[in-house]
Amino acid sequence: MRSSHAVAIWLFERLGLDVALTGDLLEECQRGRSAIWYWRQVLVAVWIGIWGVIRDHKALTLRAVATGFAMEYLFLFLWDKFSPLLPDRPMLSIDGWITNSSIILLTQATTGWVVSRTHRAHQLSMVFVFMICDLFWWAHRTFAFAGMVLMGSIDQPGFRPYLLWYLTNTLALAAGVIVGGILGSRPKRPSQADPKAA
Amino acid sequence: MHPAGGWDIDFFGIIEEMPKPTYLGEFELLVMLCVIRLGEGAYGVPISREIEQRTGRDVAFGTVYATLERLQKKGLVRSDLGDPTPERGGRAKRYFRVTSAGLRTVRETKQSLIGLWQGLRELQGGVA
Repeated sequence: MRSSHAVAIWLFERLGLDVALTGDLLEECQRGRSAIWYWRQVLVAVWIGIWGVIRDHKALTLRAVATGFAMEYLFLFLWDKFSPLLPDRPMLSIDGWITNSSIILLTQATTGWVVSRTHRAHQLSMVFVFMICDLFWWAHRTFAFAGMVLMGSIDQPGFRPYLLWYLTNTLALAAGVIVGGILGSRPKRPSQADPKAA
Repeated sequence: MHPAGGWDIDFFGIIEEMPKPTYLGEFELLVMLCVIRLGEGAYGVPISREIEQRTGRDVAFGTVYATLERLQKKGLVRSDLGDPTPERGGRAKRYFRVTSAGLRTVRETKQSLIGLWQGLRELQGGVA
Protein backbone atom coordinates (compact mmCIF):
# COMPACT_ATOMS: atom_id res chain seq x y z
CA MET A 1 0.00 0.00 0.00
CA ARG A 2 2.94 2.32 0.70
CA SER A 3 4.16 2.18 -2.91
CA SER A 4 0.58 2.69 -4.20
CA HIS A 5 0.28 5.64 -1.87
CA ALA A 6 3.52 7.15 -3.20
CA VAL A 7 2.19 6.83 -6.77
CA ALA A 8 -1.09 8.50 -5.75
CA ILE A 9 0.76 11.40 -4.07
CA TRP A 10 2.97 11.76 -7.14
CA LEU A 11 -0.12 11.94 -9.37
CA PHE A 12 -1.97 14.36 -7.09
CA GLU A 13 1.04 16.69 -6.87
CA ARG A 14 1.40 16.83 -10.63
CA LEU A 15 -2.31 17.35 -11.20
CA GLY A 16 -2.49 20.04 -8.54
CA LEU A 17 -4.98 18.08 -6.41
CA ASP A 18 -5.22 18.45 -2.66
CA VAL A 19 -2.76 15.94 -1.16
CA ALA A 20 -4.72 15.98 2.12
CA LEU A 21 -7.08 13.67 0.22
CA THR A 22 -4.35 11.00 -0.02
CA GLY A 23 -4.04 11.13 3.77
CA ASP A 24 -7.80 10.60 4.09
CA LEU A 25 -7.65 7.61 1.73
CA LEU A 26 -4.75 6.06 3.66
CA GLU A 27 -6.62 6.59 6.93
CA GLU A 28 -9.62 4.74 5.50
CA CYS A 29 -7.40 1.90 4.23
CA GLN A 30 -6.01 1.42 7.72
CA ARG A 31 -9.60 0.93 8.86
CA GLY A 32 -9.98 -2.02 6.51
CA ARG A 33 -10.75 -0.60 3.05
CA SER A 34 -9.30 -2.62 0.15
CA ALA A 35 -6.65 -1.62 -2.38
CA ILE A 36 -9.36 -1.71 -5.07
CA TRP A 37 -11.40 0.82 -3.09
CA TYR A 38 -8.27 2.98 -2.70
CA TRP A 39 -7.49 2.99 -6.41
CA ARG A 40 -11.11 3.60 -7.37
CA GLN A 41 -11.06 6.68 -5.13
CA VAL A 42 -7.74 7.85 -6.61
CA LEU A 43 -8.99 7.40 -10.18
CA VAL A 44 -12.25 9.25 -9.44
CA ALA A 45 -10.28 12.13 -7.88
CA VAL A 46 -7.88 12.23 -10.85
CA TRP A 47 -10.76 12.17 -13.32
CA ILE A 48 -12.58 14.97 -11.46
CA GLY A 49 -9.33 16.96 -11.33
CA ILE A 50 -8.68 16.60 -15.07
CA TRP A 51 -12.30 17.31 -15.97
CA GLY A 52 -12.24 20.43 -13.76
CA VAL A 53 -9.15 21.72 -15.59
CA ILE A 54 -10.78 21.12 -19.00
CA ARG A 55 -13.99 22.87 -17.87
CA ASP A 56 -12.15 25.88 -16.43
CA HIS A 57 -9.49 26.21 -19.18
CA LYS A 58 -11.17 25.44 -22.49
CA ALA A 59 -8.85 27.65 -24.57
CA LEU A 60 -5.76 26.09 -23.00
CA THR A 61 -7.17 22.61 -23.67
CA LEU A 62 -7.75 23.48 -27.34
CA ARG A 63 -4.22 24.87 -27.56
CA ALA A 64 -2.78 21.67 -26.07
CA VAL A 65 -4.67 19.51 -28.56
CA ALA A 66 -3.62 21.79 -31.44
CA THR A 67 0.03 21.68 -30.29
CA GLY A 68 -0.06 17.89 -30.10
CA PHE A 69 -1.57 17.49 -33.55
CA ALA A 70 0.88 20.01 -35.04
CA MET A 71 3.63 17.70 -33.77
CA GLU A 72 1.82 14.66 -35.19
CA TYR A 73 1.61 16.23 -38.65
CA LEU A 74 5.26 17.25 -38.47
CA PHE A 75 6.21 13.63 -37.74
CA LEU A 76 3.93 12.38 -40.53
CA PHE A 77 5.60 14.80 -42.93
CA LEU A 78 9.05 13.58 -41.84
CA TRP A 79 7.88 9.96 -42.11
CA ASP A 80 6.65 10.48 -45.67
CA LYS A 81 9.95 12.17 -46.52
CA PHE A 82 12.36 9.71 -44.93
CA SER A 83 10.59 6.35 -44.62
CA PRO A 84 11.63 5.33 -48.18
CA LEU A 85 15.22 5.45 -46.91
CA LEU A 86 14.49 2.78 -44.29
CA PRO A 87 15.12 -0.87 -45.25
CA ASP A 88 11.94 -2.60 -46.40
CA ARG A 89 10.70 -5.08 -43.81
CA PRO A 90 7.57 -7.27 -43.79
CA MET A 91 4.87 -5.77 -41.53
CA LEU A 92 4.60 -8.80 -39.27
CA SER A 93 8.32 -9.62 -38.98
CA ILE A 94 9.81 -9.22 -35.51
CA ASP A 95 12.30 -6.52 -36.48
CA GLY A 96 9.65 -4.67 -38.53
CA TRP A 97 7.32 -4.85 -35.56
CA ILE A 98 9.94 -3.59 -33.11
CA THR A 99 11.02 -0.77 -35.45
CA ASN A 100 7.43 0.33 -36.01
CA SER A 101 6.49 0.27 -32.31
CA SER A 102 9.74 2.04 -31.36
CA ILE A 103 9.13 4.84 -33.87
CA ILE A 104 5.56 5.28 -32.59
CA LEU A 105 6.73 5.22 -28.96
CA LEU A 106 9.52 7.73 -29.61
CA THR A 107 7.48 10.19 -31.69
CA GLN A 108 4.53 10.05 -29.28
CA ALA A 109 6.82 10.52 -26.28
CA THR A 110 8.29 13.61 -27.97
CA THR A 111 4.78 14.91 -28.64
CA GLY A 112 3.72 14.26 -25.04
CA TRP A 113 6.86 16.00 -23.78
CA VAL A 114 6.22 19.06 -25.97
CA VAL A 115 2.56 19.28 -24.88
CA SER A 116 3.64 18.98 -21.26
CA ARG A 117 6.40 21.61 -21.52
CA THR A 118 4.27 24.11 -23.40
CA HIS A 119 1.37 23.90 -20.93
CA ARG A 120 3.11 24.22 -17.60
CA ALA A 121 0.08 25.40 -15.65
CA HIS A 122 -1.72 22.06 -16.13
CA GLN A 123 0.84 19.71 -17.63
CA LEU A 124 -0.52 16.21 -17.02
CA SER A 125 -4.15 17.20 -17.51
CA MET A 126 -3.31 18.62 -20.94
CA VAL A 127 -1.22 15.56 -21.85
CA PHE A 128 -4.09 13.28 -20.83
CA VAL A 129 -6.61 15.25 -22.91
CA PHE A 130 -4.30 15.13 -25.91
CA MET A 131 -3.77 11.38 -25.46
CA ILE A 132 -7.54 10.77 -25.59
CA CYS A 133 -7.84 12.89 -28.77
CA ASP A 134 -4.79 11.14 -30.21
CA LEU A 135 -6.37 7.72 -29.63
CA PHE A 136 -9.53 8.83 -31.46
CA TRP A 137 -7.37 10.18 -34.30
CA TRP A 138 -5.46 6.88 -34.42
CA ALA A 139 -8.71 4.91 -34.49
CA HIS A 140 -9.96 7.13 -37.33
CA ARG A 141 -6.72 6.78 -39.30
CA THR A 142 -6.53 3.02 -38.85
CA PHE A 143 -10.26 2.42 -39.35
CA ALA A 144 -9.68 1.13 -42.87
CA PHE A 145 -6.89 -1.17 -41.64
CA ALA A 146 -9.01 -2.47 -38.78
CA GLY A 147 -11.95 -3.02 -41.13
CA MET A 148 -10.09 -4.66 -43.99
CA VAL A 149 -7.20 -6.53 -42.40
CA LEU A 150 -8.64 -7.47 -39.02
CA MET A 151 -12.21 -8.17 -40.08
CA GLY A 152 -11.05 -9.79 -43.31
CA SER A 153 -8.76 -12.20 -41.48
CA ILE A 154 -10.99 -12.93 -38.48
CA ASP A 155 -11.19 -16.65 -39.38
CA GLN A 156 -7.65 -16.81 -40.79
CA PRO A 157 -4.41 -17.79 -39.01
CA GLY A 158 -3.06 -14.28 -39.64
CA PHE A 159 -5.75 -12.67 -37.46
CA ARG A 160 -3.92 -12.92 -34.15
CA PRO A 161 -0.60 -11.45 -35.35
CA TYR A 162 -2.45 -8.60 -37.06
CA LEU A 163 -4.54 -7.98 -33.92
CA LEU A 164 -1.39 -8.06 -31.78
CA TRP A 165 0.33 -5.65 -34.17
CA TYR A 166 -2.62 -3.27 -33.96
CA LEU A 167 -2.93 -3.47 -30.16
CA THR A 168 0.84 -3.09 -29.62
CA ASN A 169 0.95 0.06 -31.72
CA THR A 170 -2.16 1.49 -30.04
CA LEU A 171 -0.58 0.83 -26.66
CA ALA A 172 2.74 2.34 -27.82
CA LEU A 173 0.86 5.45 -28.92
CA ALA A 174 -0.94 5.95 -25.59
CA ALA A 175 2.07 4.97 -23.47
CA GLY A 176 4.41 7.18 -25.51
CA VAL A 177 2.30 10.30 -24.97
CA ILE A 178 1.93 9.62 -21.24
CA VAL A 179 5.62 8.76 -20.69
CA GLY A 180 6.72 11.87 -22.61
CA GLY A 181 4.24 13.97 -20.64
CA ILE A 182 5.51 12.56 -17.34
CA LEU A 183 9.14 13.18 -18.33
CA GLY A 184 8.30 16.78 -19.14
CA SER A 185 6.21 17.40 -16.03
CA ARG A 186 7.16 19.03 -12.76
CA PRO A 187 5.23 19.03 -9.49
CA LYS A 188 3.08 22.12 -9.17
CA ARG A 189 4.34 24.82 -6.84
CA PRO A 190 2.75 24.64 -3.35
CA SER A 191 0.78 27.80 -4.10
CA GLN A 192 -0.82 26.10 -7.11
CA ALA A 193 -1.14 22.60 -5.77
CA ASP A 194 -2.39 23.67 -2.42
CA PRO A 195 -4.03 27.09 -2.71
CA LYS A 196 -5.79 26.69 0.61
CA ALA A 197 -2.62 26.09 2.55
CA ALA A 198 -1.45 28.96 4.66
CA MET B 1 -30.05 63.24 -12.87
CA HIS B 2 -26.92 65.39 -13.00
CA PRO B 3 -27.50 69.20 -12.81
CA ALA B 4 -25.89 69.54 -16.23
CA GLY B 5 -28.43 67.12 -17.61
CA GLY B 6 -26.39 63.86 -17.70
CA TRP B 7 -26.62 60.80 -15.48
CA ASP B 8 -24.12 60.83 -12.64
CA ILE B 9 -24.88 57.31 -11.54
CA ASP B 10 -22.47 54.51 -12.39
CA PHE B 11 -25.01 51.78 -13.15
CA PHE B 12 -22.40 49.19 -14.07
CA GLY B 13 -20.53 49.90 -10.84
CA ILE B 14 -23.75 49.42 -8.86
CA ILE B 15 -24.50 46.15 -10.64
CA GLU B 16 -20.96 44.87 -9.96
CA GLU B 17 -21.22 45.79 -6.29
CA MET B 18 -24.62 44.16 -5.85
CA PRO B 19 -24.28 40.95 -3.84
CA LYS B 20 -24.63 38.06 -6.25
CA PRO B 21 -27.01 35.37 -5.06
CA THR B 22 -25.27 32.10 -4.30
CA TYR B 23 -27.18 28.97 -5.13
CA LEU B 24 -26.41 25.59 -3.64
CA GLY B 25 -26.71 22.40 -5.63
CA GLU B 26 -28.14 19.32 -3.96
CA PHE B 27 -24.76 17.75 -3.17
CA GLU B 28 -23.32 21.11 -2.11
CA LEU B 29 -26.18 21.46 0.38
CA LEU B 30 -25.51 17.95 1.73
CA VAL B 31 -21.83 18.77 2.19
CA MET B 32 -22.59 22.11 3.84
CA LEU B 33 -25.03 20.46 6.28
CA CYS B 34 -22.47 17.79 7.17
CA VAL B 35 -19.73 20.39 7.73
CA ILE B 36 -22.08 22.34 10.03
CA ARG B 37 -23.12 19.15 11.85
CA LEU B 38 -19.52 17.97 12.41
CA GLY B 39 -18.29 21.36 13.64
CA GLU B 40 -14.61 21.40 14.62
CA GLY B 41 -13.88 17.87 13.40
CA ALA B 42 -15.02 18.30 9.79
CA TYR B 43 -12.44 16.88 7.42
CA GLY B 44 -12.67 14.56 4.40
CA VAL B 45 -13.22 11.22 6.18
CA PRO B 46 -16.02 12.17 8.62
CA ILE B 47 -17.75 14.36 6.03
CA SER B 48 -17.86 11.46 3.55
CA ARG B 49 -19.02 9.03 6.26
CA GLU B 50 -21.71 11.41 7.45
CA ILE B 51 -23.09 11.72 3.92
CA GLU B 52 -22.99 7.93 3.47
CA GLN B 53 -24.70 7.25 6.80
CA ARG B 54 -27.37 9.93 6.48
CA THR B 55 -28.24 9.47 2.81
CA GLY B 56 -27.20 5.88 2.08
CA ARG B 57 -25.16 7.14 -0.88
CA ASP B 58 -21.73 5.74 -1.68
CA VAL B 59 -19.69 8.91 -2.16
CA ALA B 60 -16.22 9.24 -3.66
CA PHE B 61 -13.80 11.28 -1.57
CA GLY B 62 -12.72 13.09 -4.73
CA THR B 63 -16.28 14.31 -5.27
CA VAL B 64 -16.47 15.59 -1.70
CA TYR B 65 -13.14 17.42 -2.05
CA ALA B 66 -14.12 18.91 -5.43
CA THR B 67 -17.39 20.16 -3.89
CA LEU B 68 -15.58 21.60 -0.87
CA GLU B 69 -13.12 23.37 -3.15
CA ARG B 70 -16.01 24.88 -5.11
CA LEU B 71 -17.72 25.98 -1.88
CA GLN B 72 -14.44 27.49 -0.73
CA LYS B 73 -14.15 29.48 -3.95
CA LYS B 74 -17.69 30.79 -3.33
CA GLY B 75 -16.58 31.83 0.16
CA LEU B 76 -19.04 29.50 1.90
CA VAL B 77 -16.43 27.39 3.70
CA ARG B 78 -12.83 27.93 4.72
CA SER B 79 -10.15 25.41 5.52
CA ASP B 80 -7.07 24.99 7.70
CA LEU B 81 -4.43 22.28 7.73
CA GLY B 82 -3.94 20.26 10.92
CA ASP B 83 -0.74 18.55 11.97
CA PRO B 84 0.69 15.70 9.84
CA THR B 85 0.23 12.25 11.38
CA PRO B 86 2.12 9.00 10.64
CA GLU B 87 -1.07 6.91 10.18
CA ARG B 88 -1.99 9.23 7.30
CA GLY B 89 1.39 8.77 5.60
CA GLY B 90 2.62 12.05 7.03
CA ARG B 91 -0.22 14.03 5.47
CA ALA B 92 -2.13 16.63 7.42
CA LYS B 93 -5.90 16.71 7.76
CA ARG B 94 -7.66 19.61 6.06
CA TYR B 95 -10.36 20.87 8.40
CA PHE B 96 -13.32 22.72 6.92
CA ARG B 97 -15.50 25.32 8.64
CA VAL B 98 -18.61 27.07 7.41
CA THR B 99 -18.29 30.85 7.05
CA SER B 100 -21.03 33.30 8.04
CA ALA B 101 -21.84 33.70 4.32
CA GLY B 102 -22.14 29.91 4.15
CA LEU B 103 -24.57 29.79 7.08
CA ARG B 104 -26.66 32.56 5.53
CA THR B 105 -26.76 30.72 2.19
CA VAL B 106 -27.86 27.47 3.84
CA ARG B 107 -30.66 29.32 5.67
CA GLU B 108 -31.78 30.96 2.42
CA THR B 109 -31.73 27.62 0.61
CA LYS B 110 -33.81 26.09 3.40
CA GLN B 111 -36.38 28.90 3.13
CA SER B 112 -36.55 28.47 -0.65
CA LEU B 113 -37.05 24.72 -0.31
CA ILE B 114 -39.73 25.12 2.38
CA GLY B 115 -41.49 27.65 0.15
CA LEU B 116 -41.45 25.22 -2.75
CA TRP B 117 -42.59 22.35 -0.55
CA GLN B 118 -45.62 24.07 0.92
CA GLY B 119 -49.01 23.46 -0.64
CA LEU B 120 -47.99 20.45 -2.71
CA ARG B 121 -50.85 18.01 -2.14
CA GLU B 122 -49.02 15.29 -4.10
CA LEU B 123 -46.32 15.19 -1.42
CA GLN B 124 -48.66 15.04 1.57
CA GLY B 125 -49.65 11.88 3.39
CA GLY B 126 -46.53 9.83 2.55
CA VAL B 127 -48.23 7.75 -0.17
CA ALA B 128 -46.70 7.73 -3.64
